[in-house]
Amino acid sequence: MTEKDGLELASELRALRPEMPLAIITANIQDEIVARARAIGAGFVAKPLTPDGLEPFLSGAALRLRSSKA
Amino acid sequence: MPEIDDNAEAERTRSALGAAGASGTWDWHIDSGILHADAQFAELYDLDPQQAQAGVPAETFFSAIHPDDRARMRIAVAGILGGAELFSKEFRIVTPDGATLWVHGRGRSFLDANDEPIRFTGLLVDVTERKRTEERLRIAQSAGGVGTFEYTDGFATVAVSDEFCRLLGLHPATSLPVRTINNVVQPGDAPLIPQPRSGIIPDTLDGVFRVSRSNDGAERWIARRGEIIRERSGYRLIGVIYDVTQTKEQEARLLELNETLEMRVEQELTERRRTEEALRQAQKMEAVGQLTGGIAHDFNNLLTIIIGNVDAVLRRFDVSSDPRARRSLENALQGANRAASLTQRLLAFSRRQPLDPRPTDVARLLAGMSDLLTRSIGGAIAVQIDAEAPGLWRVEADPHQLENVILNLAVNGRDAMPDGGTLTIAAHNHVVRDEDAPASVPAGYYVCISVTDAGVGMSAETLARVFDPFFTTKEVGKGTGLGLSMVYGFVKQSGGHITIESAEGSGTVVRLFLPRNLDNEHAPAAPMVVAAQGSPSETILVVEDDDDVRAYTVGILRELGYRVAEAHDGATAVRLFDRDEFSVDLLLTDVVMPAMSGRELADILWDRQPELSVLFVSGYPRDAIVSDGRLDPAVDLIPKPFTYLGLAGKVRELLDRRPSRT
Amino acid sequence: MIPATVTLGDLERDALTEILNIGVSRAAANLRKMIDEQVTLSVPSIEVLSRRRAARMISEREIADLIAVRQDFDGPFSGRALLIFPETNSLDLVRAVTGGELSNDQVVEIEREALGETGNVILNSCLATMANMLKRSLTMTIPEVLRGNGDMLFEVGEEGAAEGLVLFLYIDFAVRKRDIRGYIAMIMGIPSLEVLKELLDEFIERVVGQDA
Repeated sequence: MTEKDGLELASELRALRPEMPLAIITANIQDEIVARARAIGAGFVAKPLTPDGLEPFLSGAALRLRSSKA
Repeated sequence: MPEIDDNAEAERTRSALGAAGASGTWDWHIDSGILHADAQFAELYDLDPQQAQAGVPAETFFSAIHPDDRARMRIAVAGILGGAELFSKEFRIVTPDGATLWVHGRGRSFLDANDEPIRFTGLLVDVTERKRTEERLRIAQSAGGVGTFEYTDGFATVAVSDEFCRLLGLHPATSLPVRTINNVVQPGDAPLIPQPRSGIIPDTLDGVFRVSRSNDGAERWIARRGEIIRERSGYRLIGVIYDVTQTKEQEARLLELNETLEMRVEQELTERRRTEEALRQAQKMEAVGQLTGGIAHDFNNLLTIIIGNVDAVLRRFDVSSDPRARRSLENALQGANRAASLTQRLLAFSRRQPLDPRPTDVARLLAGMSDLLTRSIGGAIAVQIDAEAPGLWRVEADPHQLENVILNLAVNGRDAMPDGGTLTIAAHNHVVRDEDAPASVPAGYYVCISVTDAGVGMSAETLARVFDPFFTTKEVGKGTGLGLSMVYGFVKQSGGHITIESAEGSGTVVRLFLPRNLDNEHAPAAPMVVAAQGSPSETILVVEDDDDVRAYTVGILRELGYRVAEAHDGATAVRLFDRDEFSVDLLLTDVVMPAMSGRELADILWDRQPELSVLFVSGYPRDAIVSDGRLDPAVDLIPKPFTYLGLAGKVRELLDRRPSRT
Repeated sequence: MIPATVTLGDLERDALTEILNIGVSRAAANLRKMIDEQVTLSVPSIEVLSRRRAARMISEREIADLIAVRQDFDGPFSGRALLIFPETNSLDLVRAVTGGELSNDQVVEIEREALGETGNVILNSCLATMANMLKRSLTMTIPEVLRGNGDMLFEVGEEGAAEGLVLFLYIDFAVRKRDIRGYIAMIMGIPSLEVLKELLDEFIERVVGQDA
């Protein structure tokens, strides 16, 4: 999957489900990619994927999901 | 504290720091942009130590850096601020007193949870001394062609110097894979660097390796030296390499020289063994020659008497009276002649036979022998004579003996072909050049006379002994065993050479190489005409110590019509000569006599009468008149035993040769 | 011959070295996360070479066949990035990144995928760092795994090969107790290298300021 496709998919999903937690997982750590992920409202998790790297996104997502249900 | 003391204190500190290789540390807080530094750093940067410790603007880091290095260091620091982990740079700083120091800054960045750099800490070490040493070392290494390397066990790469790469013909690099280095070593040689994780700690770094340089493929010898430093979990190798090709090549040349030396010694020894062998052979011949020569002398005297007397009886014998007695006498004469011939051969073999060499046309000689050969060989054997005439060179040889030799060889050839075959006798010119001269025939111009049979041949063992006297392959009684040794003696005495080629079942070729006679003016000797008779006006003085021989000789001469005077020794002969009633025309003297030899006698009489004709008689005339086994050209000799006809002819020849008397 | 318009000056070379130093540091950090073992990546040395020269240099250093992870990049400057290992290293690397718990068969099975992912992380570390430091953005294709010798990887002999120059970094993946090493090569045409040189000058201007 090319990076552009990933970001486009995320952007389309965001339009369908504004509240759903999303993260872009990529080794492409260009500032531009990070900025675009942020603009969509998606998290940015750099490859290689580690528990430490994923943890902030997962806890943020859990928090958001709990608060939306509440 | 007075200011001057501060300065003095600072100076002392600086000296101390300088001696120790000054070092300072820094701690750059990236988020706040503050640089903290220790007293030594402050010293180098001319900062107030307390202030430096408390924190100065980060920009201060560049303040003391030499202007020429500043841009480079800003870029390097930008790398750290951008996320690079390691910092390792050498650069110049200008100290407060204006001196320029080389420092090595080594540091690293610390990242926060988001992998963003937050601190940049490091150590600044004065490496001015080291830089100079390095510079000297670098110059020494490149000038001396020494490449350095450092290898830590377990890693795939080796830290190397440019010179190291250059020596192996590799692209300059600071580190090379172990495999790349070992790949230039020729197959079969040990690796230059131990294979990673081979588990073997080398005993020594001393070694020599053959390499094919990577860039030009040149084969070089590389020596490796160095140290092995054992560490907790393994080892580290620090060493050098250098090219030893020249030394190796010199070693190789020396080795080759040594090897050829051995070969040359071997050749010398072989040559020497050959010479010794030849000397032994010569000594053997000499010993046998002396023995046979001594016997021949007495034997010839006896034969002269026997032959002479039998001859005399036969000449006066009335054939009709007793044919049986005459046959017996003839048989006796034949036996005595055979004995004489044997004695001749003994002398020929021992090279004591007086030869009468003269320019000889071999082709003509062979043509003249044709009948004799066909008669002697005859029967089932076809004799083919193949002489390269005209154009065949003359040789200088005794024609009678040469005939003997050829006959001898022909008889041998016949005997080798019991079932018949062809015997070829050939003669042709033969030039042996220096470059291809075989051991047996030195370079020169020869007439080669070959006698070839298609007979049974000889084994190598037989071949080795054929020239030995009394060696014969013939049945007892069939041969004297003197044939080939006589041939050998003749050829050697004539200044020639002889070779024999033979193998069992494939015949034998004997080749005589007689030196070409370059003196072509000499016409071949005219056949001898026997003018048997003499006259009483011709006086012959006969000197012979053996009474029987003398009586026989005198008898013949008187029978021929000469006036004869006789003496039994030299002194008597001189007295007779001096008496007035004698006018001696010819002196006929034995050579070997007690008290005065024939030669001495002749010399005395020549003093008195220079035109005196002298005929020597001898069975063993070796020392007296023969030099080098050849007759003195001015000397005439008749060998014992001689016959009536032989003596008659020789005497007449000499007397007729005198200038005619008026 | 390397045209003068793409020949790097000392400072430009230093700047590019530092940028790649950052990239490689990031790659090392990422590799550490994957291998969970001490990894040292040497400060890279940089050379600009012809493709032919690069192929020769790599075959001079590596006897075995090579394996490479390839990613093309496009933007203000474009080209192709290669992470190259000796083929004999590749299973070692796969074993390292998979934690050494897999059987040999399993390692072979996932080799291509594991190498692709590892290359992706390392090449992205370098390329993304370049983009960030030069304040430009690049698009990248997904990684592809190739095998072959130097000539094949650098496409020596193919049309237009003479055009292409190679930015060649020798990086020493000094992984203790593992015989792993590799190279990063970026193949770029002359126009792209000219742009890169301009961007480096901008970077130097930003960093060095009046000290230049």
